[in-house]
Amino acid sequence: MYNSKIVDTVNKILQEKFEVPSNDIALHAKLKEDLKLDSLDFVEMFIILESKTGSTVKDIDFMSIQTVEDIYKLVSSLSVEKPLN
Amino acid sequence: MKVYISGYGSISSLGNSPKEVFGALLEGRSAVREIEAWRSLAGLNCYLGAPAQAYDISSLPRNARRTMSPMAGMAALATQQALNHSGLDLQDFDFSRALLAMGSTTGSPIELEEYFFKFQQNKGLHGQSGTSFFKVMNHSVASNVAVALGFNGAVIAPSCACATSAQSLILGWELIKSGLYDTAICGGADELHYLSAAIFDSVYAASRGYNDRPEATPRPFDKRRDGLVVSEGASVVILESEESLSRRGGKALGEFCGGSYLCESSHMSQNNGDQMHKVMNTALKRSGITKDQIEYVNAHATGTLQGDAAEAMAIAELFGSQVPVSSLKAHFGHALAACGAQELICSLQMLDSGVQIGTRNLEEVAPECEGVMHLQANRKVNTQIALSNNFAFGGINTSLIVRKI
Repeated sequence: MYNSKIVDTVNKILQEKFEVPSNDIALHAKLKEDLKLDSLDFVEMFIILESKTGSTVKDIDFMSIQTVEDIYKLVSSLSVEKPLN
Repeated sequence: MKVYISGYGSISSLGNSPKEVFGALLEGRSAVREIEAWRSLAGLNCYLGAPAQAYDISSLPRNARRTMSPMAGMAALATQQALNHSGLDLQDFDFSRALLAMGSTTGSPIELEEYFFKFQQNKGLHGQSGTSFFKVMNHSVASNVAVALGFNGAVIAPSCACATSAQSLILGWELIKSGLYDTAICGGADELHYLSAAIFDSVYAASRGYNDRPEATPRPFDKRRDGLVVSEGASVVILESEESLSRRGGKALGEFCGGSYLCESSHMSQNNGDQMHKVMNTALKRSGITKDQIEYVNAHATGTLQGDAAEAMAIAELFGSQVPVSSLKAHFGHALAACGAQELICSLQMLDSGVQIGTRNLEEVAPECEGVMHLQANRKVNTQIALSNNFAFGGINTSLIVRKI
């Protein structure tokens, strides 16, 4: 459903940067409730994603990013213009 | 009302617990070594530093670690040690009468360097981490420790370089004596970075002549001293009111008799022996201790030409040559914000163990440092009360007094 490179990249960030156990990463896992990420983590996440995609995460509605799948969708939209590095 | 020491902790160049540290002091070890990367820095003449022994912050929660630079991490570990030592449990604690007073010389120099390096590289703000500010804000140490350990009481972040943790302790003592607080968690931390060495080097206060013989420097009070060597670490001491300790059945490890902090306003970097004399005298008065009761002086003496001479003169004027004096900077290096609490802990350990630690590398006392009873080797002697000095740039002078229980 999503580009495997996008899924691998996002999952790796979640595991390595945010220490999320790999078993907890699921499409519908909630970032706050299930993976224990908070607003500071979201900011950090977007900075990392910007550097990975070379795109700017502009006018993002933070409230709309609730699940792991929402991150895949976001990165997919950013990666359309420039491939993931 | 007496104020007691109920716990302490250290992360340092000589070890990661007070027990390890004192063991190293007893053996006369030096933590000073060459920092190879500094040799390539044009304009820096001192390539020596004393890094902390390896430590592990992975036991701290991730959401605490993410905003920590090394100084904050070390401070959190040292505070945990102190809390464990004291038996205090922050999960079941009345914060309304608790203070945390802790600081550093600046915010993280490591993080600052990275921030501005990226800024230059990217020609702007792209790619900067959202957590950078929390590592460089001046209250980074205090806030990170409070958040990591769940401290919800009063937080103050003194920041006065080499006198930071001493100042924190004296402030904690004052506030407990005032009756407003029962508990004060006090300390300081700094991390090793060439900026620290450069600051001292730029005013010819860093050791330049022993780069090929690291362990031969610094040389407090010695005829061949040529400056200080920077170190890093964190030290924390918990002060408690007599009533609070008694109420919870805690153990007093020592008595914090009192202290003083006074400013020497005549010069930003050079200290005046008269003012050092004054701050020691004031500490005695405020503690209700006479100079005849002092049985050991832990000198700040970092190995600088001017500072050591001024302090020796001040000690000689006040105590003559009857009171043994030593500095621990040749063992540790100069841990800046951490040194005050570190040296208080070591002074208390000397009182408890009956062994006074001599000044390492003091082979021949400089003429301008004579007049005091210099300890040039460890010696066994039972003593009760010690005085400890710390002096910082900006004329920040501190002196504090501790008594064995």
